[in-house]
Amino acid sequence: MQHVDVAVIGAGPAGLAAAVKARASGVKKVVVIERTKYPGGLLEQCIHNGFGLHYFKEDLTGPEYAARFVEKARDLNVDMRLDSMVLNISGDRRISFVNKRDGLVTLTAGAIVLAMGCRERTGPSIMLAGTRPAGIFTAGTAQRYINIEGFIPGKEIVILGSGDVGMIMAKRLSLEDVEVKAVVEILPYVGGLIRNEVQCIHDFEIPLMLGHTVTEIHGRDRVEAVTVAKVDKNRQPIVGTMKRIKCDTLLLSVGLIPENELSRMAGVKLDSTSGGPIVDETMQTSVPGIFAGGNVVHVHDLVDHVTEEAEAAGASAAKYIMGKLKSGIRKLNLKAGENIKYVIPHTITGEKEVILYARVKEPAMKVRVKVGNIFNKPLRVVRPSEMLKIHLSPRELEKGRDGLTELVVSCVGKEQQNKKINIS
Amino acid sequence: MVKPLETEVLIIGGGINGTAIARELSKYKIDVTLVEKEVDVSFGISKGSNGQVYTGLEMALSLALKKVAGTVSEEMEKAKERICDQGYRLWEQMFHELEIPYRVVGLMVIATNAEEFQKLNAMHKQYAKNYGLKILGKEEILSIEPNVTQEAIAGLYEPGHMMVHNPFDAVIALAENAKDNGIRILLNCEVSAITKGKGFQTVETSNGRIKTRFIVNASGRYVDKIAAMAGPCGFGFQCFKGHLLITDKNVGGIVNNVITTPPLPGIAKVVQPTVDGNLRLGTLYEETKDRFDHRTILSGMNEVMERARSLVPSLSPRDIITYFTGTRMFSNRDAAEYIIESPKENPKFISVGPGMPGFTPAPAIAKIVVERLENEGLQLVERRDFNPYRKNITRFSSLSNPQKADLIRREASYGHVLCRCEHVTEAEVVESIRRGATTLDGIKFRTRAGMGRCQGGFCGPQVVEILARELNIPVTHVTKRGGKSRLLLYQTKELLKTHRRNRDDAAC
Amino acid sequence: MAGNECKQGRSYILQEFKLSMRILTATVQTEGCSRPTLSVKSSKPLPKSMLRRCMLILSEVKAKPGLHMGDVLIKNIFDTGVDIVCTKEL
Repeated sequence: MQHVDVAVIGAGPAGLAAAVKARASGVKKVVVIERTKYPGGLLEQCIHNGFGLHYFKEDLTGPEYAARFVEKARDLNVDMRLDSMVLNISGDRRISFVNKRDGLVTLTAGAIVLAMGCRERTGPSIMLAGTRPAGIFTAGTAQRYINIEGFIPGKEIVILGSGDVGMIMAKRLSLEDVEVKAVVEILPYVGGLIRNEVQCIHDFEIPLMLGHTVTEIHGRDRVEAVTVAKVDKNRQPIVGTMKRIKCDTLLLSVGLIPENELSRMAGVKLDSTSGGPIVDETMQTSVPGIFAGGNVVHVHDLVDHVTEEAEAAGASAAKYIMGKLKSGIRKLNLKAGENIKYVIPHTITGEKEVILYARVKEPAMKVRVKVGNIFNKPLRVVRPSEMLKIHLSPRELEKGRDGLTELVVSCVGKEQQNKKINIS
Repeated sequence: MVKPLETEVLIIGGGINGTAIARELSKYKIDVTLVEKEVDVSFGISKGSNGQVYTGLEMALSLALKKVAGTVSEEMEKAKERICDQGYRLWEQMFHELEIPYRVVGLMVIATNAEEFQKLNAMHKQYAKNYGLKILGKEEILSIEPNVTQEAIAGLYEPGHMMVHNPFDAVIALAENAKDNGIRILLNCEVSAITKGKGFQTVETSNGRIKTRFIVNASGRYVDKIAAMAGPCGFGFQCFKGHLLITDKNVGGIVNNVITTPPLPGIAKVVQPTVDGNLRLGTLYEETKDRFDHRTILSGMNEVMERARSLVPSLSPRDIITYFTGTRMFSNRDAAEYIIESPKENPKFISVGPGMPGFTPAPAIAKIVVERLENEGLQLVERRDFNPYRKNITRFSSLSNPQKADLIRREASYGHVLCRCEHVTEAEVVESIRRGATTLDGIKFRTRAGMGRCQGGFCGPQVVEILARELNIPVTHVTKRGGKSRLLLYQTKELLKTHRRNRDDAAC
Repeated sequence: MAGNECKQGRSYILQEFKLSMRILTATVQTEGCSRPTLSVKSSKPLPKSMLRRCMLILSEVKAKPGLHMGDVLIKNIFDTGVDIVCTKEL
């Protein structure tokens, strides 16, 4: 049986970053196992720009961002197995994968980095009623069809969900002369970045229906229309507000979930709020020697953060196999407090500086982000679609030395903001 | 003028009855043609079946449910029991011969309140002596099914009298075996008119004219419409629509048996393990005037979910990966009746109606139909080369590691896994196309590609590409299930170029 | 301008006010290649109002194999001083 030092599952931005970092940290044998034909993961189909503004200080498209890491991986002789599907991972770090050329391969790894990314929520996950015709796609799959395969699903489209993927598809389709009849969003505010709201929706004068949802799909063989209704504050459709929109395609942009099948197989403990593995500040999961980074841990908005997080995982994997990964003496649990949905990592030692990622539940203005008694920063605006990055310096962590077992991360403020935030 | 196709027996309908009858007839030296309106077999009412072949207590429950729905005579009830009993035994043999995946489970009927407890007692009195069952207490119930509700006060448990399977697996297997044994199957072939001549009948179809001696009308939802083409139709149906929810495999193991409650008016609750390891939650049966209405309704799905949770509280909407409706039809003369009927003027035209259960009795009904045909003059000479065995497509995901390795060495495309949820390989998809799948749903039913938690999000583009390649058609012609269900309507740039041309034309 | 945290944001807002400029990202069809599409972008932002006209031009382009990231497909589109360049290898 083959043995590798570090095995990385997935050659998307997370996997590539982890692999490159592990090699650069001195690990000899690094293998990346990727299920599609090309490295780069979802970046290959994200042909729009906006990537790398933080990491490279450049405005790159998805493929260009990916290419930087693919090149580094090639230069560092990372063993890339493409078109290879991992079938099984065990808790003792045995991996089985298959591809046409090598057949069934089983290898053992000194350390594993899980970087499988996320998948899209489907229609059934939101109990979308009606018929089951052709013409219903998740936004990411539609993106793949247009940008990779070269096909457009239809010419009159309704998009459910105003997350970034949905909005970007609204723009992409409009540029291909598809009529985007509406972007329907159940919340009273847009689900993605403001930049996308401007450049994707307003630029193309696409009707944005906030506080609405699609209640029914019509059409026997192919989508013919959808029924849209206004929702109340409990997000339930209001009777009498139903409107029928004629269309031949429905795109669903209703959320992303970390891919956790392989994580489960390996016995890794998951957090149901973030959707991914429970990790400490080294990005190690509950199984020793198995690390994770990127969207597989929690869904990010910026690929730059994915890279940073995965680099941390890769560096830790390297330290682990060299016997240099120290487990801290203390373990501080990070808890989600007021208006915080989740915090990553789940535990820190408090012995060195660390970066926390957190998401708020509701948008708010003039708030203070607090971490226990040791961190307190005012912010003008917070939104669920924009992740908080909290840097805890050694000095701040010093403050929390005595007798603490947990730190509550919270976002407190006077004003709750539910309406669109005007740039004025 | 094109010569009409001449055959001895024409079967109209490629559902469970049509294919079971076809397979039965394929044992004899007879020219048989099966015509199916849709692009593939099982695409009609059959694919929405519950996928249960049963006898014993569940059969008793099913009869009780019919009584709630409509009139049931004792004579019909007895006939039904006989047919289903025979069907069950025939299925035991056929599941093996045809390599149809199935799983034997038991039935756990629980009572959670006084009304249900009363019903349970009545059931016990009526059926216990036949089946040797005793009423279990809460402790015993939870020891068999630890994840069932704590509100359970009493129960009846009958192990091993239900075989759960996928309805389309059975229909496809029957069709393949029938075809293998010489039956001609014409797809995309819709019947529009039937005329009786001297010694033969002429059937007009969308594929041309067919001349036949005998007709078996097993056309499911259309059975009365087709029957009316051949003479006065004496039967009718009561139709119900049922919602079925499928859970993620992650929660598939929380129960091992079918869990249900005693049937009360308007309330049917079922949590059923499937052969593949999911759970099927059902069923809210609502009477419908439109047997073609297959829309799901939010209130219906919520109702099914609530009922399922009342049986197994740890289930949640988050566990649901897909849902659909199924049509249930039974005779409006007697809810237990299985219609096998001819008009007086045309005894060589036999209608076989859908019923409930629809799958359990099918092999027995097939034998009855063949007997009828013989009585009407069909010569039954056994074929010595009849092959009862049919091999299913090798399921890569169910093999051991050494078996997988070996398979890839022999055929490299087994090494390309394109459905990450169900671990379906390119080789299986190609094989399914070779066996007759021409659509995404056809591939889905034969390989499971697209049935996992991502519902085709990952494998979809790859399956589309393979279909286009294998069938040598443009990608824009690939359909979900035939007809107008094209998946991708345009190539990129097509709309831009069309609009540009239109603008340029307008400008001239 | 409430809530801005970023220097780029300020110049972005001012730019929005004066003349909305956008980087165009799209795909072009390929010829003689196993990959059916090639992703491209404009080397600099273009006026928002020109994007559609550029898309119409791009709909006629057929990229051939051998192209590298950064290669120019269309030089100085509509005399704007902006090029359309490849963002992938072909």
